[in-house]
Amino acid sequence: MNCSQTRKLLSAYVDGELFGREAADVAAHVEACPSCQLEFHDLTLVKDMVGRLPQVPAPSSLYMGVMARLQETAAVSAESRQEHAFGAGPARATSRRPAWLRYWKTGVAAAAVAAFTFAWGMKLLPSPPPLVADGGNSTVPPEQTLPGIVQPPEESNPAPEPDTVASEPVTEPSGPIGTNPTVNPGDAPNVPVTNEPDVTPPAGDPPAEDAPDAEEPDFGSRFGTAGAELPGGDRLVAKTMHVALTAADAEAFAVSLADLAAAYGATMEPGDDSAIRLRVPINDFMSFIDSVRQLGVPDTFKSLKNTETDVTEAVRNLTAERDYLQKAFADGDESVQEDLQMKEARLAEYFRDIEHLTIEITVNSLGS
Amino acid sequence: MAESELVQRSRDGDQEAFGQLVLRYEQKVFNLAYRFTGNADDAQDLAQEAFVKAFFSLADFRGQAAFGTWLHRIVSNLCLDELRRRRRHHVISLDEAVATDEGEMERQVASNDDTPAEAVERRETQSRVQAAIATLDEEFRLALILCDIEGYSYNEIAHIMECPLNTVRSRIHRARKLLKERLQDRELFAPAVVKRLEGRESR
Repeated sequence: MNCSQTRKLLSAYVDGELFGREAADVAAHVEACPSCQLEFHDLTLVKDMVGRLPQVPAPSSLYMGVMARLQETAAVSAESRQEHAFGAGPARATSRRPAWLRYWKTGVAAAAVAAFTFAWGMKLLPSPPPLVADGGNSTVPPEQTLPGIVQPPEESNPAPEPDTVASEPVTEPSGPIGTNPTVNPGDAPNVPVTNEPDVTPPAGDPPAEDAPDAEEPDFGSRFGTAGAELPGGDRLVAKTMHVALTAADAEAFAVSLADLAAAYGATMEPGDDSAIRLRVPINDFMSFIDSVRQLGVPDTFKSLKNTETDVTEAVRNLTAERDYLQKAFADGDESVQEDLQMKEARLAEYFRDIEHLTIEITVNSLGS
Repeated sequence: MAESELVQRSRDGDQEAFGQLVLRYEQKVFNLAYRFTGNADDAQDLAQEAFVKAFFSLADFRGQAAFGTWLHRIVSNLCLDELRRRRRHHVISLDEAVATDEGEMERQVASNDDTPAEAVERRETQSRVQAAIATLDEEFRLALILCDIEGYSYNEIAHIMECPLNTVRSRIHRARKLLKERLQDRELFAPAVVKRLEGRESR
């Protein structure tokens, strides 16, 4: 047994999870090989360090909490059984689901959105699309590039066509719908505006991808060379914008919103507390927001807060992990296949968050 | 009362019997959730959710595995789900986890027999180890905790995580290698290794 065969089995050996021939072979090799011996000691030490973490006592409120929940739930389910027996109203479980979700699940939008997401996720890793179509300041937040400027979607993006918006007279996404100061995310107090608008990307014409960087192939090709010029370096940021508005009819609003989202190639899913979460390609979000605003009752649109999450570290770790697993898989270790696929899917999810602006819309209905 | 009887009674809806099971397992379940999430509040929420879920899924439990293993599968799935949910919402904060952890550590160290200096060093080591665990991807983290903290065998872990034995093996190995690297990053590991190796040789 050579070093690399031994190394793969060392953790299992440390755990006493090797048996028979395998155990004997590893033991013999470790005995004879100083470097594997050191590795064995290291792994043993790591195991000890983790194992020596103290037990944190369970709080007494845990038991109480569980028992209270059991009693509560038992009471509720008895009640709902009774309701059912007398035919008094719908089951509780379904009544909490927002109306728009039912539409969305069955609607045309769903298919378009799913296809978009799927295709995008699949091609993401081998040949990623440019982060944004400006080829340069890829991680410059939209708030920085677009204060006060409404950008119509560019030709390279699925152009929203008013015709596709069924029977709702309110959507005119591609028109320059003026900048309402209350809508402009650049006005939000917690978003620093550090760049001048002169970094506004030229329309269309994304430059060809550079050849992969020698040192960090995936990372480098993905984020280009211009990232280094940014303040803060290669910072990857996922942005979420929380907005609220009032709609005359929440369900009709959701239907229009689903159409609008489909026209923009945005994804739509349930958010927190019956909010609607959308991911909009970052270049189009200003005109998208404006269109959303007009779907609601006038002057009820509020930008609540913007949040930014730096995911640089997470993506870096995940990329390294993916590369490691890829190599292991290429070397014939099939046990890592499942994990490899998982990492790739997770990376795709991160990039989706980076390349889109997430908008959480809380809809208040006039009717309720 | 024997565990199997408690399980049987709980399945028939006896909440008091289930309460006995909660008392038997709350420490393990809470500890797993605590090491996984890195803070006590989330751990309590997860552990509570797991017990409630277990009670209402007991009909599915046919004794094909030990009750503890089955319960851990529920906790594990909840941990993984919670993390996925949070990743989508971007609310993971490792710093926060570590800060909370240190608070916890303080309490535990008070009851230790260490000298104050040793106590400080121990506390520091522990919170670094916990912080390093928090950087692991969730499947790696879970496999490692189940193995090194909960003391489950690879077979049991395969059962809990519903994956092949080979996958358990590679996850644990990978987790340990990463942990070693990351502890080395923090300049904790290298001197410790030396100390440790010297200790072994002199014994």
